[in-house]
Amino acid sequence: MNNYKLITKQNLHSFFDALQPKNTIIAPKEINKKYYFKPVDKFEDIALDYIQTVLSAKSVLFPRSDTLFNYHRADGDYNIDEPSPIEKNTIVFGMKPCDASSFVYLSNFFLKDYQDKNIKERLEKLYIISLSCKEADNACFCTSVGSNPASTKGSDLNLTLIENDTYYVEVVTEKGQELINYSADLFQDTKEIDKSKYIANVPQKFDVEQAKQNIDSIFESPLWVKDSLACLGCGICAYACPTCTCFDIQDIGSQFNGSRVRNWDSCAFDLFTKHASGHNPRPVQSQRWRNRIKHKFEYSVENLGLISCVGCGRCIRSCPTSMNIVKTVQIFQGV
Amino acid sequence: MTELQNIAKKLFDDGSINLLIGYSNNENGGTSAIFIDNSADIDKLIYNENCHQNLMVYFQKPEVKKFGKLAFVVSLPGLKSVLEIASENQIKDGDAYFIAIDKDGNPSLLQDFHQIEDFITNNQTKPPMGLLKLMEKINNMTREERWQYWTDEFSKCIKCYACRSVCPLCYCTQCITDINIPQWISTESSPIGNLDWHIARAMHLAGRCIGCGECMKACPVDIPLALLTANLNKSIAIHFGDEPGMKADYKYPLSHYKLEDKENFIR
Repeated sequence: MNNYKLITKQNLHSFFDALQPKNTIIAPKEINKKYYFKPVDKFEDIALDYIQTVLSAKSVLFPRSDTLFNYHRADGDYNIDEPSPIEKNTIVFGMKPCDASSFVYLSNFFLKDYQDKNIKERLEKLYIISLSCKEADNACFCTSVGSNPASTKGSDLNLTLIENDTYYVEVVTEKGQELINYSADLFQDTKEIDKSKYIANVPQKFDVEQAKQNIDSIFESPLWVKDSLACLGCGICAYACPTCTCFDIQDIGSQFNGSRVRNWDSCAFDLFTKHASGHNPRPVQSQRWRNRIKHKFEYSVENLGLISCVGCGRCIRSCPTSMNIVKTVQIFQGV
Repeated sequence: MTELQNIAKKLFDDGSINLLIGYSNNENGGTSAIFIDNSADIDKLIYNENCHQNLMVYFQKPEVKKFGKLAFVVSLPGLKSVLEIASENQIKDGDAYFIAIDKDGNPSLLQDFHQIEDFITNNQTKPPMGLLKLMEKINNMTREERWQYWTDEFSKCIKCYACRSVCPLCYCTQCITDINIPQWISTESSPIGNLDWHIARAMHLAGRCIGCGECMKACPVDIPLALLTANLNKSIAIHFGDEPGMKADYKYPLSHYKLEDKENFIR
């Protein structure tokens, strides 16, 4: 489905007020000149003119630490309870189209074979209102990975600021229509418009099909070492990434009482691939960096038919040593 | 060619080094580390006020060490790291060359620890005012307020361990976080799990931190991490009168004893 509407900024405020009482709303908020997704209850708290948040919104679906169940031993037996993963419907208000498209990858990853219960329940109650980008920076590269700053992929509603404080609204899914129905009279019907003149210009930096082929074919190359000398093996890139899904399952507590928890993990860490024997098949950082790049453009294509990079640029902006995934892909483009 | 590039070129030309780690402009309008393994790339070498990364963090990286003889471009915090690492027997005089950048941005080649010690004495700077003010504010809080302040700050932590990775003094080949039998530091990002990590990190750096502040700059959620180690350093200076990063033969107070120490349990 696709139908097109207009809403003024003032009415968008009223729309937020209509949604707020019955839903949890997560939106970008400014904290010390940086932007983070936080729960908001006032429209004024939302940053509408940001370029990118530091961390992605994936934690709405896949939290940093996710309790799978609690256990308690009593009378010689274990009692298990599974806490509800989500209470109210959750709306992410104003995420960028690159982030919205990451949810297509995330739902594929977590639901394709084994249906992850927590993720499934959260996804059912998740609504995405994306906001097309007016501005981009040097780190943005959505157009290189098959998207664009006004893409509706993964969104339920997509808003594009056109002119005179008016947003052009695309209703992408039934869920989007459900949101509109909270206060349908705030919207005005319109025809499809060409959004391209209202959005940021993000130059294409590489050809994704070519990149997939090149990265697929190169495993042993001195370039992996040369390109990753600066990498220090922290987990910022994976933790800021909207599509990195690796996790580590731990039991927290004692043998009598505790929780089984799923925590984020990162392939940049030494411990990530370490075997119980003590052997580590990826003992050095260049091999871990290679894994990251190959996972994004090769392994996830093999597993799910999708690349796992949406071009949000967070890994580039937050890397303390300026490692740059675009530069790496370009290096292999030139091979 | 700049003076910095001249010094670097000479080191390559006379065969003194195999790899130079310095700074260059990057694709995103910032600066980042550059690894130069032949003199043809020397024109990319720069230094300006944006070059803050403490490059001494690379001295133990296996893939960097493989190159052989190294040279580092270092400003004051980097040089303090050199002396601290030296005092911990991780680097010997003559192991590497250091192109020191003084407070006016001028480069000079330092070849031994004595030269580095003199350079540091002549180039001392004060810690940034903002940081001192925040430290004073926190120290004036009641114990309960201070606990709340740090609990709130740590609650933001996502445990990406960037604070550890960028620190030149976190050079353990196996960090306590990399040990999972037993799991000393919980991998969970929870108030308790985060506290585990930050106490471990701060205590391991107590009296060793040279104050480059890279941990704080790397933190994606802006936790003022450098304050913890700065405050611990202050306590150690008060009790033992020592400061890290000033001398290559520094005796780290928490692993050495002096007969005049006020505690007498060791005698």
